[in-house]
Formats: sequence, structure tokens, C-alpha cells
Amino acid sequence: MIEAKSLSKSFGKIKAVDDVTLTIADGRVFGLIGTNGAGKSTFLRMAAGVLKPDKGSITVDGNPVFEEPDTKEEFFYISDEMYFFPNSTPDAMSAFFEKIYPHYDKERYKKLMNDFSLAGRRKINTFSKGMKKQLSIILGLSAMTKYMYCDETFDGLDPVMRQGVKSLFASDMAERGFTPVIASHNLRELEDICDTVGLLHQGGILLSEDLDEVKADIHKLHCVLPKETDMDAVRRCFEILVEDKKGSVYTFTIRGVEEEIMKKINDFEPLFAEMLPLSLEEIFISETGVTGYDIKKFIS
Amino acid sequence: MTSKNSFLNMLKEDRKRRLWSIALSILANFFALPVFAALCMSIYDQRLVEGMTTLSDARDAFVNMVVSAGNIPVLLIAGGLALINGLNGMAYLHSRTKTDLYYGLPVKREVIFNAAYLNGILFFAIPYVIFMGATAGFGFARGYFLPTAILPVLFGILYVLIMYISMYTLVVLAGVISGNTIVSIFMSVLMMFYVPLCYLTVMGYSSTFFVNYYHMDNDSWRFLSPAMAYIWFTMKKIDNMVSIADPELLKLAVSAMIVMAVLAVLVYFLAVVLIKKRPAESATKAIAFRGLKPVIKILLMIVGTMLFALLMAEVSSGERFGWIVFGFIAGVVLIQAVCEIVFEFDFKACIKHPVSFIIGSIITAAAISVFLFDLYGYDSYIPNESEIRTSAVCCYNLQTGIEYSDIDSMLYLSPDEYRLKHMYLENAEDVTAIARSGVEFSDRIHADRLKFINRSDSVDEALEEDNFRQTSFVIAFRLKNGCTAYRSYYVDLSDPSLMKSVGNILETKEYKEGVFDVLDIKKEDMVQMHVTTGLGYKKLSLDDDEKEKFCDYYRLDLMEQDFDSMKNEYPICMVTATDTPKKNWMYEGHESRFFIYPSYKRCMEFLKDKDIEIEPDFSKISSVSISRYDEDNWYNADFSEREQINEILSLCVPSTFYYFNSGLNTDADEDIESLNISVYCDGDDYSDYTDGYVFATDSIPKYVTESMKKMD
Repeated sequence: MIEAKSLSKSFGKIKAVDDVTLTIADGRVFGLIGTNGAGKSTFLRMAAGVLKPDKGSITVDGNPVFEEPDTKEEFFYISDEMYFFPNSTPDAMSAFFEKIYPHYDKERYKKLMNDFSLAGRRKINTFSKGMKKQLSIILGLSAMTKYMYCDETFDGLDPVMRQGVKSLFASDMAERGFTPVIASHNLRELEDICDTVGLLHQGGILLSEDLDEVKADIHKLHCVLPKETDMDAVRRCFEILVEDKKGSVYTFTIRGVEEEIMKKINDFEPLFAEMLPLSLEEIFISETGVTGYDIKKFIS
Repeated sequence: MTSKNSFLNMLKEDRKRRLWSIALSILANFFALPVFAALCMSIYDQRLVEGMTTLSDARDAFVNMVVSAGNIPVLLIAGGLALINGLNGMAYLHSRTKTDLYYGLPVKREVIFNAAYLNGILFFAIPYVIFMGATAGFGFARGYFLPTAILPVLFGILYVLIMYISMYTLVVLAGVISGNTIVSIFMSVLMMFYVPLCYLTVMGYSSTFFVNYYHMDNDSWRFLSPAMAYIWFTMKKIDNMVSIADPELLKLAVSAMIVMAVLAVLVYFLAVVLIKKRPAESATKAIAFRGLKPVIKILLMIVGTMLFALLMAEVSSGERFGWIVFGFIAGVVLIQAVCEIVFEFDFKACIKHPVSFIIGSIITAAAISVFLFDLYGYDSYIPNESEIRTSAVCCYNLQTGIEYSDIDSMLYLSPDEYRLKHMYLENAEDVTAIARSGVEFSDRIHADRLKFINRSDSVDEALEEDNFRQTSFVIAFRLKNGCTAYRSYYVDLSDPSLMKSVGNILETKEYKEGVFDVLDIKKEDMVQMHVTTGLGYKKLSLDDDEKEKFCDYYRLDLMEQDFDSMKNEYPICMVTATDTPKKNWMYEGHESRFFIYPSYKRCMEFLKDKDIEIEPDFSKISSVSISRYDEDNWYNADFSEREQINEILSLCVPSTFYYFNSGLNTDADEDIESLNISVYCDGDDYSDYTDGYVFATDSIPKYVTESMKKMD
């Protein structure tokens, strides 16, 4: 389990991570989502022991991370721009990590390279961005660590590769309790892989919950109400995150339990009322819209 | 994984990443050692064939210049590789992606650092030692190197390695402190040369603003930085051409090695402490530690501004004080701007952090003021007589014409270098009397500080105003606390009480032993001897017993000579003794000089017994030419009549003898003294040896002045 308690980090006057507390349970895919500059990379770099927190703590299985090689053997960190040695090949990088990580599986590396159709002796500086991302995932999986931190790793992968990686993750999670932590702002990708999400915004944590629970807590309601309906009364009944109207149809994003929402709207005798599932992207926009990060500001 | 395993793994992996560094080091050492040795040997082969040197000298040169620390190519590559290996090793700290990789690994930071650090030493040391062994073997095969010379080679290897490690460790520290490779290069150069620059700044300010300033080169600059220590030793080896077995040089070299080794250890541990504290996010920033920025800026401001202000003072004329102020203001502003722009990589940052700017300016102003106004009393310093253990004095206008050299090192020494080292006067009262006179003179100059800003101009102006015959004395006060204070004083010997003090000093045995190196001459160094009168020289052939006798007579006559004799007489002849003419192709022999006065009865008798005619024979002189230079014009007169020649020359003294103790000649008429008198013999323009002459009188024949005509 990875635990962050009151974690803070500043770069000069800029507060990159501000008093973040969250728990990443074992055996579940944790998605770290957030706006640009939310602090995702900074959080992961602290979790990887690259940066030292200014305040608070971050532990892996109860052990501190910073400058603790024993703890760091438990995870593999893939940064947003992974560094490969100049003029090196995948085989050379594999040989390097094999010396560093005690459980590194060379056979698995070879198998994965074959599955991904990457040449082990080809110079990495001739790889495309997507191929480099694939390679970094292969090296990470071959390290056979308990955790893997992926900072915007999926962004450069094509859809087929993404699916392939997802299935590999699922398989490792089932077999050895592998726990990937994936930071991304590509929510559509994360939606069908993540079990738990942590939403960061301007350095702070907005939510950290199981995805199902998040989805259970926010709903999208389409409804058509009679003309004489007191809309203010309607609004007072619910915790409305987002309200939209197209013609006669209202669309509300409401926080609450589905049954209760339906019960309350029925009290207003709607002409039409329907609950729709929210995508992770819609949840993200709704939650950050509450804090003022409003998409309407960017749309004229 | 154990930390030892991870260290060895990182060491190996780091080597794989830096193959080009290894290749560069191998290549550099190859050219600096065996190739350079082959070049030197080919040159010496030619010299041996032509008889310009001996095999012994060639072997000495091979040891000193090729297989020891005197090898200049090795000095250059050691400095270059220290910079390259240091920067290359710490490059991972200057890139965000690299620090993400390395610091995300299950390896401690100091393990990564130590692996890179150790490799940087091994990359140079291993090829250097291997190629040094190969070069010595090559030299041995060619007959230029004997196994008996192995100790200097081993010492040289140790010396070079310690200096390399010291320089390299400073560069590593620069790499840890900064977050950018370009800034690292500047920081490395700064660390290597900041202390020497401070030393030069202090010397520059002292020599410019202190009237009584004297600098004694005591090899202390070898402690200023590893680069200086290395350069110092290389120059010593090349200049002196002596083996490291020379005890004096060995002592100096060992002390430099110890200091630089200690420095390397301290800097290494500082770097290890800093690497643990260094924030990973400082990659790509100019300086990794925010608290260091004002310190670096202030340190740069002090030295940089002082040098700039000094430059303004030196190149300007007239209102120098104004130029110093301008230099100060421009210096602090420029350095403030440059530092802040570099620190922040932003031009608009040039006016940031005013507090450190103010602090730096205040310190710099204080430092300049210390020299400008002599706030610590350098010029007025005279130790109490009770504090003085012994002292030494050197006056350039006394006992001139004596050439000094260190026969073992074949290095020529200036009079002050020799006399201040070999003289041990005990009469502190007379010595401090000279110092008091000098301090009075400097006090008059400093009375108007702002007017007299520059030492040389101030002194010239004051001497012109005072219109006295300038004599300068350099004094070394050896104090009982072990320190030695050196001062150079301008004094007026026309002051009778001062002349008395000088006389007291000149009569002492300690003074004479400190000045006349011939008192310690060995028979083996008196190979060829001549007697010179100013009109030529005659060979003097003496056997060993006669040489010993002559030296004894000279000592007795010299010790008995009183101050009146020195003041009122001139030497009548000079006996010269030269040692082995060709010790090696660079050395042409040292000439020891025995100046004989008419009052040296024993020596005069000795020479008479050897049928040496000392009285000058003017009959050989066919003409005398007298000239002077006055307000851009030359005036000249020639005399060829026998009577005139005899009369003129009877009033003259050969210039070598005239100027021997010219400092005591306070009554001399400078206009008469400045006349150039040349003599010509029958048939030729010059005899075998003729000296110029000087009128030793305050009145000259009327026909001489009347005959002087302006030359076209």
C-alpha cells in the first residue's frame, strides 16, 4: 500500500502539491488524473523518491521512500520523458536494469520484446515516441516490481498497444498483486482500466475513491419539466454540479444517490426524466468546474 | 542488493556510458608521454651528435622534462581531463530526465556519485601510470633513462596524481553546486583560480598604493590552488633542472602535496554532503543551492570590482581617485547584473536581490579603502627592536656588479634574492633607523592621500620635489615569532645620521658575509681566473694552494675594510673566477668577482707577486669620446691628444668600479656623472675588454665642456 499523508512540495513560490493525503491500495489500478499543472508528475516523483517532500510523508508498505534503496526496489518509475543512455539498445537498457532490480526477469523481457515486435539490438534513438513508451513499459514489467508508476505513459501508445498493455497489467495484477499507478489527463483511456482514481487540481486532492463509487455518487439527469415549474425550488432540492439547458430539456449533473434523485425529481412531475451514466471525463469536468476550472471560460 | 554490489554495478555501468572519456584519456596520455618522449629524444640525439650537450645532461633533461612532473604536455592534459571528466561525471545532475532515471533507481545517491567520481580518477590515473611506465622503459632502451632515477619518476607520478585528483575534485564540486553544464565550467574555472586571483589582487593593490611595498617570492603561490601547485612544480623542474633529491625542492613539493591532498579530501566530503542535500529539481538551474547565490555573487563582486577599479587607476592619469570610484561603481553594477542574469537565465533579473548587492558593495568598498588609505598601517610599520631576531638589507646602489647564482640549480639570483636570504644582521637599531627614514618619506606622500594615488607616480613626484639623491633599501625583518616582514624604503643618504647607521651596518661581518658570495667559493669553481682593470684583462694562473691563499687574503682584507674606505675609494681592479664553462648546453658558467680596493694590501701584494700590473696603462688609448643626452639632443666631443687623454682618464674611474658603491656618493654632481665616456685603442674600435668611464670629481677640465657639440 502506498500512503501519502499531508504531502506538500513547492518550487520557489509555486505550490506544486499542497497537503495531499491519499492511499493507493494493493492490487488495484490507480489512476491519477488532474488538470495541467495539477501536480501529478510531482506527486509521482515524490512517490518514486526523486523529489524530497517539503512536508508530510509518503510511504510504501509503511516504509519511507526517499533515499531508501530497499523500498525503491518495490517499484519501477517510468517518467513522462524516460531517459535512455545515448546510443544504447533495448538489450543494453535491459542489462542495466537487470543489475539494479533484484527480481528482474530477463526471459520475460525477451518474450515481451517479441510480443511487441521490438528489436532488441536496434538503437533506441531510432525508435518513435510510441516505441519508446512501449519499451519503457516492457522494461518496467520485466523488473517484476510490486508497483509501477507510469507518468503519461499511455499517451503515446496506439489503441492496439494500449489494449495489449491493459491486458498485461490485468494479468500481472491477478497473478502477483501488481499495482500500477497511472498518471494521465487522457481520461477516456483511464476509464476502462482504473479501479481507483485520484483527482488532483492546483496541487490539492479533490477526490480519491473507487471509480464505481465516484460514478455512484454523481449522475447525469435529463429531464423536461412543466413550464410552470419553480426551477429555483428544483435547484434547492439537489446538489447540482453542472446545469445545462437545450430547448426544453434540462441536463443536470447532480451529486447524490440515484434513487433519491429520481424520487425528488418525480415530485416535480416531469414530462420526461432519465438518468444517464457519466463518463470519467464528465465527472472530471464537473468536479473541477466546482473549483472554478470551468470549461465555459474557454468556450465562447 | 548490498550497497557494495550496487556500487560495483554502478561503477561498471558508468564506465560503459563513458567510453569516450576513457578513449580520450588514453589518447591524450599516449601523445603526452611516449610520443613526447620520442620527440625529445630525437632532439637530444641531434644535440649529442653536434656536441651541444652531454649524455648526462640529456638524461637529466629526460627525467626532468619527460618522466617526472616537469612534463608540460602531461600538465596540460591533466588540467583538461580533470575538467572534462569532472563535468562529464556530474552531467547526470544537470538533466531532469537523467535525474529522474538515476534517482528513481533503488540506489543511494552517494553510491551513484561515488561511482562516477571514482571512475573520473581511474580514467586518467590508469592510462597515465601505464604510459609513464612504457615511456620510462622506452627511455631505458634508448639509454636516456637509468633505473637509478626511478625515485624521481615515482615521486613525479604521485605528485601529478595528487594534483589531478585535487583539480578534478574541485570540478566535481562545481558540477554538484550548479545545475547547468555551462555554468559548471565557469564555476570550475572560478574555483581553480579564485584564490590565486585574490592573491594577485592583493599584490596589485599593495604594489600600487603602498610606498614601502616589497614582494619576496617565497614559493607560497604553490598553495593557492591545485593548478598553481602543479604549474609551480613544473616550472621549478624546468628552470632548475635538478633532481627531486634536492632537499629544498623536495620539502616544498611535499608540503604542496600535503596541502592539496587535504584539500581534495575536504572538498570530496563536502561534495558528498551536498549531493545528499541537493534537490533533484535543481537540474537545469544555474545554481543548485539557493543560499549559495549571494555568496558567489559577493565573492565575485569583491575581486572583480577591485581588479576593475585597479585597472582604471593604472590606465588613467590625472584624477585617479575619480577613476577608482568609477571603476568601483561600474564593477559592482556589472557584476550584480551578470550574476543575477546568469542565476535566473533572465535579463530582467539583473536588478534582483538588492540586499546582497549592498552587502557586496560595502565589503568591496571597505577592501579598496584598506589599501587606498593604508588602514592597517603597512607603510608605517616598523617592528620594535626587541621583536627582531635578525635582519637583512639590500641596497641596489651598494656592491653593484656582483652576480649571484645558485650553482647547483644554475639559476641566476637577483641581489635582493641572495642578500635577503644569506644576511643575518644583529644591529637592529641601525636597521630600524633606515626604516624610520623610509617611513618619513612615505608619510609625506600619504599626507594628501587623494592626490597621491599611484605609488610610482607619487614617489616620482615626491622625489622631484624633495630633490634628494634617491637610494632604496630593501629590508627583511626576521621576527622572533617566526615571521619575516619585508619592506622597501626610499631614503636620503645625505642625512649624516642615516649615513652613520648605514656605515655601521656595512662594516659588520654579518653584512659582508651576506653580500660577498666569494667568501664561500670553492677551489673547484675557480677554473679560469682573470684580472680586470677596466682597460682589458689578464689571465691569472693559480694552483690550488695559491687559490686558497688568495681567498684567505681577500677575506682578511675585506673584513678589515672600514666604511671610510668604502666611501672614499673606488675598487682598482677586479679578479674574476669562472667555473666549468659548459655544465650543459644551457649553462655558460658562473663568474665570481673579487673587487680589490687600494686598501686591500694583502691582495695587492699577491697580485704584484704574480706580475699582474694593476695600474692602468693609458698609452694604449688612442682617443676618448665624451657624450651626453640633453633635452632630445646628443652632444659629443672627441679627444685624441695624449695630454688631454691622460688628464681626462686620470680624473675618471671605470664605470663598473665607480658604481660599485655609488649609493654612498651623495655629493656627486649628477650632470658630470651622467657624461658617457668611451675609450678607444690603437687600430680597433674596442680592445679585448674596455669599460666605460665616469668622472670621479665634481669639476672637470674646461675644454671638455667647451668642446661638446650638438650632434646631427
